[in-house]
Order: sequence, then structure tokens, then C-alpha cells
Amino acid sequence: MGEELKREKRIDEKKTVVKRKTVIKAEELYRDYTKVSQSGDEPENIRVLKGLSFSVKEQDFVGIMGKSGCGKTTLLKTLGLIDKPTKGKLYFGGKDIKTLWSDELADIRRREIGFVFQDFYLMDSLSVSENIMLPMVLDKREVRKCIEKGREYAKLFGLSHLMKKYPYELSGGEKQRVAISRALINDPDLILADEPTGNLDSKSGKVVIDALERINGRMKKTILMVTHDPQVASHCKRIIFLKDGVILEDLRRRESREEFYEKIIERMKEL
Amino acid sequence: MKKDRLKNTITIFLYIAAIIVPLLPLFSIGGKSYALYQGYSHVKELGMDGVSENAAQIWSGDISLIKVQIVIVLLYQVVGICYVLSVLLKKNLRLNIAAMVLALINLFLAQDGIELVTDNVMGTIFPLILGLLSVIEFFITKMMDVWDSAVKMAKDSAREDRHQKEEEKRRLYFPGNYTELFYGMVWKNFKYNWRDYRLLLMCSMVMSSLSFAGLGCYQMMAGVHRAENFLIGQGLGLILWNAMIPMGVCIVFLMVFVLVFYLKKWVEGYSIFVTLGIRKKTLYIMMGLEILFCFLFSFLTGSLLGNGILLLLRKVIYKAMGQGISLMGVTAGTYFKMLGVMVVIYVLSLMATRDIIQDFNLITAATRRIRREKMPRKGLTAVTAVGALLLFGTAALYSRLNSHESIYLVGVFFVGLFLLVRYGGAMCLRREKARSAYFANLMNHNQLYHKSKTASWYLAALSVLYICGMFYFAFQVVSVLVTEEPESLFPYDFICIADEGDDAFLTGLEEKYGVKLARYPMVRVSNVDKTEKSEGMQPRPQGQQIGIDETTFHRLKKELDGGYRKEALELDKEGEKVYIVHQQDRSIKAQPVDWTYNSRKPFLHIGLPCVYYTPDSPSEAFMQREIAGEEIGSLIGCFRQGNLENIIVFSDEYFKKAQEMWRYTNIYTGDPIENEAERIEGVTIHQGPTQLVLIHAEAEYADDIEREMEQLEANHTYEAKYDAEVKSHYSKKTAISDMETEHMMKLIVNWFVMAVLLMASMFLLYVKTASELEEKKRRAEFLNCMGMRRKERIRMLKGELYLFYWLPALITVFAVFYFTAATFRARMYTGEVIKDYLSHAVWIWFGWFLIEGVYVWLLGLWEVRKVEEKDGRGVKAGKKNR
Repeated sequence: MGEELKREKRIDEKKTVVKRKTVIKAEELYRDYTKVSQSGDEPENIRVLKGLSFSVKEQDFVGIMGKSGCGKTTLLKTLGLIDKPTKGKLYFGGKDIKTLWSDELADIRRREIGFVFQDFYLMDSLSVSENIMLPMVLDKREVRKCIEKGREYAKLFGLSHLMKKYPYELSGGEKQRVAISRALINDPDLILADEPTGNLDSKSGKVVIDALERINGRMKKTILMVTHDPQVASHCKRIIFLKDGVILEDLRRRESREEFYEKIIERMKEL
Repeated sequence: MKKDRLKNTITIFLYIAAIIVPLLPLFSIGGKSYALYQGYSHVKELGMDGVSENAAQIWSGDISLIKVQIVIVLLYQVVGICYVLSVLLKKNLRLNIAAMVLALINLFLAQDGIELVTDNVMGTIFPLILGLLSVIEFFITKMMDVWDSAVKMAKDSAREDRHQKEEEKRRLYFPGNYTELFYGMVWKNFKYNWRDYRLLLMCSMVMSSLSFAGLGCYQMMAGVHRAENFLIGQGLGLILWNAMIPMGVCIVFLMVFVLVFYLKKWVEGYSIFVTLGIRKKTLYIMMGLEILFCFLFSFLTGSLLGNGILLLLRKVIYKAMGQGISLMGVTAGTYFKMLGVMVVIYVLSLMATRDIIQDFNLITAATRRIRREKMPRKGLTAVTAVGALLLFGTAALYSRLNSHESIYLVGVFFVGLFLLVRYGGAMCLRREKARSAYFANLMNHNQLYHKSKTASWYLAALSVLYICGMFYFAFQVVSVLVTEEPESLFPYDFICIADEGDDAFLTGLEEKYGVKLARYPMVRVSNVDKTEKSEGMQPRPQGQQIGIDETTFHRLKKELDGGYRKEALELDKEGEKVYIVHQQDRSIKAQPVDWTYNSRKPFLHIGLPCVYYTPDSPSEAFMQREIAGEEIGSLIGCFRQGNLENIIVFSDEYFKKAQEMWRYTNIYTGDPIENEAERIEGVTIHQGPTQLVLIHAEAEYADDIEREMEQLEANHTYEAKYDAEVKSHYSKKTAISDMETEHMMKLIVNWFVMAVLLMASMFLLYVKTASELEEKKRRAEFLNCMGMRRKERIRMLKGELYLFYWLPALITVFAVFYFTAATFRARMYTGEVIKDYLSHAVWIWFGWFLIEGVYVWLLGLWEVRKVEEKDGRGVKAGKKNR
């Protein structure tokens, strides 16, 4: 009976996959950095991403894993349109980003992408409510709507009582929830999270990952998350393993979270 | 089709016109009109007889070139006819190109052709007409060919531009205004960063106040001074200029530093806005507004404070120089000049920080703070040795008079200093690392290892500021304080540089005003270069000095000092050796009589300046002479402060010869004229001044005599033509007034510069401390976790900061000692003067170190308060600390 159900579920998933739109598509994506030497030597060109090709569909929850320095964060910043690819093509919502002006990229970042960073990246000069509302404010949205939405997300993530506080008065978990609320407030299609639990204790980390799972499951948002933690990664539906700037494996979850976790642990040994 | 018809019509019309022109009787030859070919036949037949008188004067009678021109024109007509026919027959033979080439050849030959024999302009302009018609036809037909496609391209391009603009408008459509929430957030963030902004405001305000005060001071004193000719090295302008340049450099440096610091913080603060998708234009506007406000605020406060400073200075000057002088007021021009200075400084600073303004990149902003700096590894000993060589070499050169206390030498010294700090420092640290002492100083020296480059730059920059303040500008100030009383530098009321023609005038003065005259023989001595500026191979402005014999020198010395004992100057009969009296006061820098190639041996010529002489010419008019001895001081008066009218002493024997040299010396080249017939007085030779007249007069007649002296100037216009600064007479009263003004100006501007340098060093330390605060807080937290005691952490913090006080101070002590001694030597200060100098300077040095020391101590307390909390724990990273 269980097997039957699982098979049906897989067929359903396949059907859904066929219908889902592609949010991001990378084709032969390269990203180089120029390392300027302090000792006066010639600048060194470092290739971080080496021809990555993959796509992310709507409502996907993709984890990116790999050793330190393998290019995870670089990939995330490139996909988040903060950095431009050195070579190759990157499509966001079907648009080739090379054809877009920098202000258009800014518009996309503002309206269609939400960012969650390991170090929270909140403005110390602004209160919690202002930090949450910031993307809407930058989008010239009505003040009343900004406040309403800010309250709504604060309530959703249990931050209502902290609205007048400042980031330096919050705990790590609270800060990250503020960052998640800020990422969601403009109702973006894609959430990019760079080690969102990296600076948190296990309890706070659990709260954050549960929130992300909820965002993906209930709010139907696409999430791309960089993580080192196999436990956190096991919440994803798909894991892209990076090694030295290339995709080592694109692992999809077709089993229970525990089994997926075991699989991730196995793969991590190969990294 | 219609276009082709029009094109053909134009071609036919133009070419028929071109073919007909030579056939018309337009060429006037020998008084009659001819067609071109007729004219040619006429000239060929009659030769010179057939042309007018005027033409005969310029034409040689050679007809060959006219013949060539006729053939060319004929060919042109034939080709033109063929071309017209081809056009009529609709054949595209491109004969118009051949016709055009022939027309151009005709144009080229025109000067030696028919033009020579024609009386009217037709001979000259007909080749031009043919050429023009051919060229016009060629281009019109070409343009008509491409006209349609060009119009189409232009339309396409315009459409594309329009389309692109529409596309841009559509895709970048972002209607509406930012809400009050946005402005509220920006304002909050601005307030949050107020401390940094305040620093920028303060720096800008100091800059504007000092600019205003400096410019106002110049304007205020300009009326008191005799002449403004600072381009050739005289007057208040030069004093201000000399001080404003380093001050300007210092202020630009400071502004850039503070702006970089501020913008770094700004970009870090606002990079989240970029990540969240703010339009860059909005960010630029926000930044622009902050900078504009700072500019306007500093302009207003600078004007107010500057006026306050000027008011204070006015009182000081009146107190020092008496109420008798009239100081000018500040005018609208001062405000405009200040605005100009501010704009230049802002533009320079913003250009220097351009990369930071353009770079809102999140990653760069984040990693900028944690960049590790490598210590130099290769060639440490060699580069350190080069640094040491530069240090000692420049200081040694500085002590020579002919190095003229060059600021470039000080610049090279600073280069050496940086190399020594950077590479010598790295060498010491590497050696320390190899020893066990490294671990004992692991934390204390951590910043030197981790941020070696930044530390070297700070140490070098602070040392430079200290040395400039305590040596270069302090010397300007103290040298004014220890200088002679102006009255003592002018032993005579008037000095006249005269000749025999002035005898009657001088006798008249004696009779009318009862003045006492002392007359001494002299010759005018010129030197090749009177300016510090390097002119390359260009003719240089030559200097003029006073040449006397040894006997006169001793007599003049005796006049000054009754107890003077005559000692032989060891001069030679050939005039190769000279003795020089640099007539300048102690506040003037050591400078040579002649600046050519900075040579120790001056190039001197007996006689007035030679206009056509250049240093690279083979002429030996300016003989290089050895200096047998020299002194700095006043013999007859420091009227041109060592730049002109110095005393050159020759041996008596040579002086006699020198007195006669004018008889055979070319006044333009300075070379001897061999042919006696060519020695014409006033044309090729000129005697110049022959007597030095020293006058003592009653004070009551001083103004009257001054007026009378105008007549003397009128008699010597020849000498004044070369250099307006060289006069035939000099008056003690004017010179003293000028000297006092210059001294006052020197004191004021150099005190200013010292104050700016002191503030710059304080700013530098503050910016360093403030920019490292966050990092140090995190480190304190870490060290606290590691179990380091609060006391130890504070000691470490203070030690790190104090290093940037005591090390530059130590370097400065050595440098100031070395350079001050070198300057004493160059300026030939006596033991008494040195003692006097030190008694003044020691207070400046002490004051500087004290102010700086107290400031560093307070800064240390502030830093400790920010980094450490009362309970001894480090502040949590990111916690509000303002």
C-alpha cells in the first residue's frame, strides 16, 4: 500500500514538474574574480564557477552544498543578480540577464528576490519594523500598505512584540526571522538564503528552517539555500553538490527526510 | 530618374563653365585682354616685350613652365569635353576624377605659370576656379549618389534611438515618489552616522576657514607692500603661494582621507539598499545631497570663521606693525576665490574617492574591512639600504647653499623615510618572528603583522606631518623671530646705481638736501638664471648683481663696523675667483646667486644682461667662476633679499679690466666684438652703471628725495627694460616697510600651516582609530573569551595607539635635528643665532609634542571606553555603540 502511494505521489510530482515554470536557468555559467595582490604582484584571475548548467523551477527548495571555497556563495550572489556572470547565460524568469540594465536588475532584486544572509544584514540604524518594511519602502509603496504588511509578517514570524526594538537588541534567531520577514514582504518569487542557520544555535536554527519550509510549502515560494549543515539540507527537495566550481551531483529527494539525510551524508564524504 | 537628370545637368553645367573659362578674354597681359591660349601665343612671340613692367620684374622670361600649364589646361578641357559627352551618352567613365587631378596639378603649377605674366588676378584665380568647379562637381554627384541611403540611415538611427528611449522608459518605468517612510529611514540612518558626517563637516569647515583666512590675509596686506611680482620670486604672493601649496596638499590629503573614510562607511551602510534593489540614481542623489550640504555649510561657516580669524590677525598686525599702516578689507573677490579653492579641493577629493563612490558592490564593501595585507618579503635589505641612502643623502645635500633648501630634497627624504618604515620595519618584524620574542609580543605587534601596509602608511604619513610641522614650517616661523631688525639691514637711506651722467643730479641732491654721498666704483654683473624654476633650454631671466673690487669691499665693511679687520679674500687677477655677499636677512632661505644647473660655481658676466644668450649656446660670455668665499648679510642693504643686487667682489686687478670690458662687449650676446668699427655706443655696446652711490639723508627730506629719484629712474630706462625689479635707486624706508610686511605675512601663513598640519595629524589618528573600532571590539570580545584580563587588553589597545605617536615622534626628533643643523649650515647662522633659534624653537617642539601627546592620551581613553565596557567584557559585535 505504502509503495503504491509513493508511486502515485511520484507521478503527481512529475506532473507538477512538467507544469511548473522555470525561475532560474543557468547555462555554462562562469564567474571569475581578480585577486589583487597586496605585495604588488600581477593581479591573479581566479575562476570560481566553471561552467555550471542547471535550472530551478517554481516552488523548488534547492540546497547548495560543498566544501568551503567551492563557490557556493559566489553562485548564490550570481543567481541573486548581485554579481554578473563572467561567461555563460543566466535566465531569470525567462529573461537573459545580459540584456537587462543595472536598474532593471535592481528592480528584479527588489520585487522578485528575497535575500536571507548568514550575518542577517540588518541596518542597525533602523528599527525591526523599518527593517522589515525596507524593500516595500524602496519600491515606493503606500505607507499604509507597508505598515500593514510589516505587521502581518511580524505576526507570522512571532516578532510583533519586537517591532520597536533595534537589531542590536535582538537574539540571533530573532534577527534571522526579521531578515526572513524582510525577504518575504515584497512577495518575491525566489528566496535566496546564504547559510541562514550558520550563526544560530540549534534551537533557533530549527525555527528558521521550519519557517523556510513553511514558506516553500504553504506560500509556494521557490527557495535556493546555501548550507553546510546536512540536517538543514535534508529539508530541501533537491541538493546541488558543488566541488571546485563544478556540479558534482544534482540530488533529488524521493524518500523520507531521514533517508535523504543519510544520502546527503554519504555524498558529503565524496566532496 | 529625376535625380539622375538633375545630377547630369549639374555636371554638364559645371564642366561647360570650366571649359569655357580659359577661352574667355579675361587675362590681361601688357595692357590688353586675352583668352588663355591667345595670351600664351602673345607672350611666346614677344617675350619680355609683350608683358607689363610689373610682370617683367617678376618673370624671368622662361616660358617653359607656362607651356606646361597650357598643356595641362588643354588636357583638362579635352578630358572635360569627353566627360560631358560620356554623361550625355550615359556612360559611366569616371573621367571627372582625371579632370579633377589635372585641375589640381594646374593649381600646383599656378605660381610659376601664366600668373607671372598677367596684370590682373585672373592668372591667379583661374586655376582655382577650375579646381573648385571640378571638386564641387565630384562631391555633389557623389553626395547625390549616397544621399538617399544617408537619409535612410539617419532616419533609421533616429528611429532606433527613439525606440531605445521608449524601451528604456518602458522597462525602467518606476513612477511615484518615495514616501515619507523612506525619507524618515534615510534621515534616521543619517543621524545614526552623524559622528562620521560631523568629522567630514569639521574637516571641510577647517579647510574653508583657512582658505578664506589665507586669501583674506593676502588681500589685506597687498596694499601695504611695494610690488607684487611673485611669478619671478618676489613679494607677498610668493610667501602665500609657498605656504598655500603645502597647505593645499595637506588639506586635499586630509579631505580625501576623511571622504574615503566617510564614503567607505556610507557605502557599507547603504549596500543593503543596493542588494534590496534601490536605484543607483537615488543613492547618488542621497550622497550628492550630503556632500552638497557639507560644501555649503563649510562655505558659510568658513566665511564666518575666516572673517573672525582675519579680525584677530588684523589686531595682531596693528599691534606688531603700528597703526600707521593701512590694511585692505575683504572684498567679494575673496569669497569667490575661496569658493574656487573649495571647488578645486572638493573635485580633487571626489576624484580620488571616485572608485569608492562607484563601487556599491556588496562583496567589496563587506570584504574591504577584512583585507589582509602582506608584508614585503623580497629585497628587504636592498630597499632598506636605498631608503637609508636617500635619508642621509638628502639631508647632506640640504646643508649646501646651492641646494637652496629645495622642497624636492625634503620630498625625496620622505620617500626614503617611507621605504625605511615599510621595508626596514618588515625586516625587523621578520627577524622578530624568527625569534622566541615573537610570541611574547604576539598580540602587541599583531596589527603590524596583520596590517603592515596600512601601519606603514600611517607611520610614514604622521612622520611627514610632524617633520613638516616641526622642521620645515617651524623653521620659517622661527627664522623670522631670530632675524635681524630691518633697520640694521639698511645702513644707508638711499642707494643709487649710477653712471657719470648722473653726477649733476647727485651734486644737486647734495646741495639741495645736504645729503652725504659716498661714491664707489662698480660694474654691473649678470648671472644666467635668477629663478629657481627650471626653464630647460629656453632663454632664462638673467639676474643682475653689483660688482665691486676688493678695496671697496673692505671700505664698505669698515663703514659698517669700525672694528673690522681686513683680511685678504684670496682673489685672482683673471677674475676666476669671486667673493659673494648674499644680501638677505636670516628669514630668507639659503640661495645661490646663479641658479643655472644648481651649480656650485655661478655663471657670471661682466655687463648688463645679454638678451640673446642661452646656456646651451657655445658663447663664453658667462664665465663660470669659483667662489673663494661667501657670506650672508647686508653690506649696502638687503633690497632684493638675495635674489638680485648681491655683491660680487673681484680682485682689484681684475676689476680694473672689468671696468673697461663694456667697450668691446656685444650687449646682446655678451661676446667680444673683434672689429672695432662695429663697436658703436648705444647700438652694439653700452656702458651701464659705473658707480655705487650710498646716501645718508635727513629723515625730513626722505619723501622729497624719493620724488627726486624718479628723475634718476627716467635716466636709466635702458637698464629697467630688461628687468623691472632692478632699479637705479633703492630707498631704505620702502624696503623696511616691505620687509616688515613680508615678515608678518610669513609668520601668519606659516603658523597657519603648522596648525593645519597638527590638525591633520590629529584627524589622521582619529580616523584610524574610528575606522578600526568595530574590529577591535570583536577582538576584545574574543580575547575576553580567551581569558585575557581587561587590564592587559587595555594596555594592548593603548600600546597600539601610542605606537603611532611615539614612533613618528622619534623619527621626527632625528629628522628635525638633522635638517635643522643642515639649514643652520646652509644659512651660515652663527653660534649666537643658533642659540637664539633653539630658544624659540624648543617651545614650538615642546608645544607640538605636548598637544599631540595629550590628544593621543584622550583618544586612547575614548577608544578604551568604546571597545571595553565597564565590567571588562568586550561589547557584543554589532551592538550599538554610539
